[in-house]
Amino acid sequence: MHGATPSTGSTAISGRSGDGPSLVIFVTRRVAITIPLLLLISFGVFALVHIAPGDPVRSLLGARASDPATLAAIRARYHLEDPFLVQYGYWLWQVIRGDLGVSIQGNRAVTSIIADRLGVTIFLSLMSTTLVLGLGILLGAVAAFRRGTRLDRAIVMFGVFGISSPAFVTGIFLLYLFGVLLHWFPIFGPGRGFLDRAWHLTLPAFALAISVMAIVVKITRAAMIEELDRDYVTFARARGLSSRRILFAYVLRNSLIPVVTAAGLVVVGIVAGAIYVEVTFSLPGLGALTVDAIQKRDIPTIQGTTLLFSAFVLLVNLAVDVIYTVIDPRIRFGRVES
Amino acid sequence: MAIGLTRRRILVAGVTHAALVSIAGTFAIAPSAKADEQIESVTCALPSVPDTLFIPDAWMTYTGAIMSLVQEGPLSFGDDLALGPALADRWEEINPTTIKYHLRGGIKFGDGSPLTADDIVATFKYHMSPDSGSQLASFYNSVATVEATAPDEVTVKLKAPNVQFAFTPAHMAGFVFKKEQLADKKIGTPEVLPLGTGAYKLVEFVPADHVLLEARDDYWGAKPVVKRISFQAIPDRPARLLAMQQGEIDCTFDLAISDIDQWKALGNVDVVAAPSLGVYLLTLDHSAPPFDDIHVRRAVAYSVDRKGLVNALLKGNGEAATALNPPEIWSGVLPSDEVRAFYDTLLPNYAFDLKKAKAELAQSRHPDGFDVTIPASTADPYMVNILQSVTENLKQIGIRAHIQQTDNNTWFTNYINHDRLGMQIMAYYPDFADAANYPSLFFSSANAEKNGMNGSNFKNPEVDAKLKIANENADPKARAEALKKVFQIANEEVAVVPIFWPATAMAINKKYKLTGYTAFWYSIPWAMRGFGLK
Repeated sequence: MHGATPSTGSTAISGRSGDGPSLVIFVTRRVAITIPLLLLISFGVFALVHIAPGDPVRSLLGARASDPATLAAIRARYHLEDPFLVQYGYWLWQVIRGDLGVSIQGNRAVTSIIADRLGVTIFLSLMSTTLVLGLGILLGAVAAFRRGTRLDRAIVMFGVFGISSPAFVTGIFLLYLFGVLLHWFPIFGPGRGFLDRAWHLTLPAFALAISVMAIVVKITRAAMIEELDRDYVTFARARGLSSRRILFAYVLRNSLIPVVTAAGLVVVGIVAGAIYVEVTFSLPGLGALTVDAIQKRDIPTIQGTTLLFSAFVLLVNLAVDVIYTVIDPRIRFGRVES
Repeated sequence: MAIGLTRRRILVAGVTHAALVSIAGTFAIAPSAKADEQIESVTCALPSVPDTLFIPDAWMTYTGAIMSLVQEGPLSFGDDLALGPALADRWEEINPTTIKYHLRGGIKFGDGSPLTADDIVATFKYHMSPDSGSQLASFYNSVATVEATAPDEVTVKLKAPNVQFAFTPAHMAGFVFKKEQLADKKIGTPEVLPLGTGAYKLVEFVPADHVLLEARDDYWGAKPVVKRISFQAIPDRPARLLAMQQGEIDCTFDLAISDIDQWKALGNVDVVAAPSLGVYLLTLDHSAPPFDDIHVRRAVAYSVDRKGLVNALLKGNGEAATALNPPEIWSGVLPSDEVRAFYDTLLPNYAFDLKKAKAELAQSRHPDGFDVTIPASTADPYMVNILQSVTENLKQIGIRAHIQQTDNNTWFTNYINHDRLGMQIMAYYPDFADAANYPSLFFSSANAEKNGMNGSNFKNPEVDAKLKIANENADPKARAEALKKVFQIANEEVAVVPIFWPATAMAINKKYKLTGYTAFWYSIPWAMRGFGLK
């Protein structure tokens, strides 16, 4: 999913003369930077878990007396007695071979565990992103167009209210109102099958969306107000073009650059917020997995999920940069322009 | 039901009093007849569903709640927590180091294949091999060999007499796997669901989310009352409560005792409680100042308001602990009323008394008090609250105690590594009811080191000698005498400061009942122990 965005951007632009090579060079350079960045992040996380107090094998055995030979065997299995750099080396070598190792809790392949949990998190994040961008841009546009009216103030207030309350608080509120009082939505679990899942994830997706929607609403509103004041809008009005056409065909497109920048932040914010929301709504997603793995010092799982999250954040940023050129072809990349 | 009775009463209006009683008697049987009916499905919530259902890799009470319906051990715990037959219809102690288990005939795994003695041997050997990294390996420490001495007989030879091994075949460590499956590295995953001989078989497993069980028609024991049981993970405590209120779940286990009033207030729910056999205690490091001083230890022991804590934190669902062992854990050695009477004779009696605490501290080498930091796990529902009360009391006598809140892993690693122990808080729940279990863990010198539970570093040769008797001698009388002496010394020396024995509780929809709920709900097939319609 994540990899598809830049390549789509690249295909869309390659038809224009001069854009193709520069975009390819840009993407290649960015991907080349991504690898050392990921290495740095994975090393940092590994080091942090290493210096944190606690012991992964202890949480396996709980508050019980343990068998020394088994303890030693488990430690050897996960190279826990080796020096820190050797442990990291083992992990890195596995990753290079496409293997994220075996979780200490449950002794299962980390890739399988992530595969089990990925679906819920992707569904939740996509649903939430669609809500934020769709509803956020629409509300921002309406607020800009009705600038100074009660509607404008109501939309801005709603945005501020949403961003002021953390996703898990909004979550509990929505859970109580729509789950407990009104019985419209289920209050736990991820659902089975597409429609059931969408039904189960509606409240968590809204909880997540409301907490970041204000960013999109305010940026869209500010950008559109600026655009609406420009001469070409006055000219278009003078030519007798309909408000709808002016808004959607000209103003909205020209206002989208800051919105796209914000969209990158929003998507990353949603994925980060999913960690809390998954716990509130009892969803077995990647966020809940990461929290659990950290509590139990399950190093391979922590490394696996953080690697995935970091790769995702880096790819989203790359995708945002590529999407700029689709919206505004005047933007060129890197040294070709300079 | 009420309408039926009224109609019947009208019909029999003219008959004699005796007849009326007999008819009412007939009706009184009706609910139990109804209880025999099969229930289509039941949904239970657990605080978590594991990533694997292979017990050696996921030894948790929640794995047990699921797998105890699917798998069985050679033995099982009865409602009185005593050992009873299961896959083995009888077992005999040939000599203090040899036990023979005779298997019932005709028992089949969920796939229809027969259970053999080899399956039991393979299961025991799996736990015993350090290479398999079984989390339950320590239960087999005392085993020398395990062999199939006949097609229906398994013989276990111990390295030395060990009374506690007798319980291993009855709890999760004894659940029998099919030998061929143990060789499959994927066992426990949704692809290779563990087979068992229990009343239910696994039908669906989505790691960390839900599990679906289906009753077996070919089960050797009583017919299961519930056809399908599903377990749903709901980690959030309030969410579990809401799900119960909505009727989306029928039961849930492992309630935080402090939430019991909220559960009872739901109206459609019965809360079933039983002694958990667990204990909360403080350990005081005898090997270093200031707790190497008996007067300091006694000052601490007098400063714990046990009854206040039971009322405030457990809402009365538990008991103030006068010793390490809850009375019920003496089952098979001493009846619990005799245990209580014995505890009352222990001197000194450390009932909450700040005056005595002050007096003890004044006699110590630290009359002006000292600073102490006590780590506590935030994952535990009571630890921090207990310590808030204890530290306030200690401050009043001059001991400046501080709580260091940490996550569960940090807290336990620090404890088990015996790293600057000082004063620690510990919560412990047993896997079986044996009176020598806790004292062996917390009072024996062998455990007063890294990887041992004796966080007080308490060492006493007489205690060690008596524990040896209690662990090696099967005679209840000899064990009782030995253990009584252990508890007398431990009390005098303040080996630990017991706090309380909490209850364990589960919530169940009012239309159902569960009469066989015990401390070991996760090691017994709970849905086969008096579960049914009311």
